[in-house]
Formats: sequence, C-alpha cells, structure tokens
Amino acid sequence: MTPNGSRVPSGSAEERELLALSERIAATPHPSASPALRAQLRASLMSAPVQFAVAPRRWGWSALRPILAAAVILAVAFGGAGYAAASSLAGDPAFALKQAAEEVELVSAPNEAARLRTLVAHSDRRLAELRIAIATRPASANAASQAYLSAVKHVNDALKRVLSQPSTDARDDAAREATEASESHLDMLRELEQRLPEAAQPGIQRAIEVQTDVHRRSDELPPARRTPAPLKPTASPSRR
Amino acid sequence: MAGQASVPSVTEPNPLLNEPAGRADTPGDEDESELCRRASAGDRRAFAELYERHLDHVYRYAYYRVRDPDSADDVTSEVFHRALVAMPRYEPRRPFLAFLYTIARNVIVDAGRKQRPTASFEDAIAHPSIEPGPEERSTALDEARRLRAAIQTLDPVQQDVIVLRFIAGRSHKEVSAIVGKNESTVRGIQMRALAELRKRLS
Repeated sequence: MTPNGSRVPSGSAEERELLALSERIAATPHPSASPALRAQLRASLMSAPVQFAVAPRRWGWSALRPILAAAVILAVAFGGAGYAAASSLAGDPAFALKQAAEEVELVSAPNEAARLRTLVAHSDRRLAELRIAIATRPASANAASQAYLSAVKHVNDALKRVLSQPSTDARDDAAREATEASESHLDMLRELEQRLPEAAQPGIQRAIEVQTDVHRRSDELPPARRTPAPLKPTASPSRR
Repeated sequence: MAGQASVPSVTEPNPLLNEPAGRADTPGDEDESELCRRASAGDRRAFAELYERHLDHVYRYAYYRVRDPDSADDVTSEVFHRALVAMPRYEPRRPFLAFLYTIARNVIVDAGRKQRPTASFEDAIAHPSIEPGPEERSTALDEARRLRAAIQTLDPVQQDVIVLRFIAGRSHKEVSAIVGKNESTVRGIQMRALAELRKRLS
C-alpha cells in the first residue's frame, strides 16, 4: 500500500494503465435524460402537492392546531394513495385527494397574499396537468382545461381581493408574482391551444381571457424594487 | 456536461490521487445559492430551475448504478420528488448537487433491497438490458454499454466511487462526503475498483 491508500506504486506502469482507464471512462459518451422524462418529471414536480411555508406565520399554535390535525388526518387516511393523487389528472378518482390536499394548503394560508401565492401554485399544477393530458391522454384534455379555468378564476378573484388592500411589500410581491405567472401561462396556452381537441377549446379560450385580465392588473402595481429604495423615507407611514 | 469534463489530465503530478483541476460543474454558485434559498422557502419555480440544471447529472449517476434505462428514469424521478419534499430541511452550505447525489444513493440502496443488485459481467454483456436504439449503434456507445456492464459488476461502494469520480467528475472530498468514508479510503476504493475494471475490460 502506498501512503495514499493505493496498492499501486506511484509512477508505475500499472498506475499509468489505470490513469488511461480513468480517462477512457470519463471520455465515454454518457447518456442524458430523455425529453419525455424531462417534460413529465418537471410537470410532476410542479404539480406535486407538497406543503411549504410560503409566508411567515402570524397565528399561534392554538389556532393552527385544527388545521394541522386535519392535515394529519388526511395524510393518514390517504397516505397510501398520495403518490397516485400526486400524478392524477382532472377526472381521475384520485384527483379529489389532490384537491383536498390543496384545500388544506389554502386554509393554512395566513393572509390574502399567501392565499394568492398558493392559488398561483395550484394554477401552475393545473397547467402542468393540462400539458400532460394533451400529450398522453387527450380524452382527459377537456376536464383538465376546465380544472385549469377554475384555478385561474380563483387566482383572478384572489388578486382582486389582494389589490383592494393597502399596498405593502408582501401584497405587491404576491400580486406581482401572480401577474408574472399569468404572462408565462399565456405563452404556454397559446402554444397549447393549437393542439387541444375541439371539445376543450371553449375552456381554454375562456382561460386565456381570464389570464389576460390577471395580467392587465400588473398596471395597478407599483414598479418592482430592484435595489433597496434609498429615496424612500425610513419612517414612511405608507407601508406597514 | 460540465460534470463529465473532468478527465484527469496526464500533466498533473498524480491525477489518480489528486483532485481534478479547474472543474466548474454548476453555472454561477451564488446564483444557485439564491435558487436553493428560494426553493427551500417553497418557490416551486426556483426548484424547477435547479431541476433543469441537475437533471442530467442525476440521470447519468442513476444510469450507471442500475441495470436499465427504465430503472434510471424511476430513480431519477424519485430523487427529485424526495428532494422537493426535503427542501425545507436543505442545509444551504452544502452543495446542492451533493445533496441530490446523497438522495440518489439512498434511493438506489432502497431499490437494491427489493431487486437483484448486480449482474455478472458475462450476463450483462450476453443479455444486455438495453436494446440499442439507432443512436446507440455506434462503436463509441457500444463501448459505453460495455463499460456500464463492467461497472455494474463492482460492489456498490466501488460503483459509487467510479461513477462519482470519473463520470460525474466529483472531487475526492465530495465523494468522501457523499459515500460517508474518509478521503484516503475513497482513494483506496478507487484504485481497487479501477484495477478490477481493467481486468473486466481487458
């Protein structure tokens, strides 16, 4: 054994052979993930119902206890079906479990801004599911487009409520996130509408209208702050 | 991919025993730290960006550690789902890719408890589990399949070290952290694994 833990004497012919082999391994053309895996896994990750802490908690433990209890009951009751629910599409029996989990997410949101963020995340999932439905199960595309339309309407309603509140950083950030998401959704919807079955067209057209409405609301927002605003008085009463 | 670009150079004093030089496997580490921070806070788009950056690294590791591409797909999928769930507990000082490799290793260990973990080299060559597609009919990829079959006859730790060192391009220190052994032990495993591979491939 060498001091380095190798049985091969440094500089030996054997070492040179092993070096050549290591170079050969590294130079071998290595595979990459297939486009199908890339797209499906991304969609699955975007739609997986994972509970994140999206905003600082403002409630005490006592207020959260019933919600946590409900989440635990759901997890225990549906634990075995969780994976199926995560990959289910609108119209599948397991889809109801996914929606139940999302309801728990919504109930857990401590304020309207957090609720809006959660609803935007849900609309991301519905769009991902719509893409999967079009690609793999065209018969589900109509149900998926209706589910997406419903999610977008919820986003629009929540955005209206958020924008009716006084401007705060949290409010503005959440609203900006929603309007930015609407922009990327619109790009994808215009691409998807070319491939949608006839039956799903009315739902998707209506969804485009609602998302356009969401996107227009970016006009009601102050410009995004790129850096800490040096000109803003530190004791300004306009922001909490 | 940057990860595979770390071919030990013959100009280095002792490439088998020293670290690959000049490897940069992730574009913009500061940017990645920010993505990790946002993903840990529940930002799904930030996680998606991390996913796009590292999908091929994870897939490649899985491909060389399991018997067929379908299993590699399954392992890759499971790794990212587990990572998504674990993000709130992610330690930001740790490289994100090392975090993914550790999860991948655990996923493969878990899967190995349910399946036959390795095949003989002769069996792997005689009954390749991968039907070569049009792109795989080249001589170069024939060699890749042969190499892959040979790697899979090593014991699991040797496979980890060879794949992480020479296919993923990780340093001894990174491999040491991922496999949970000290660096000198990793070096020893690496030399023995290469010697074994040389026999298989000769």
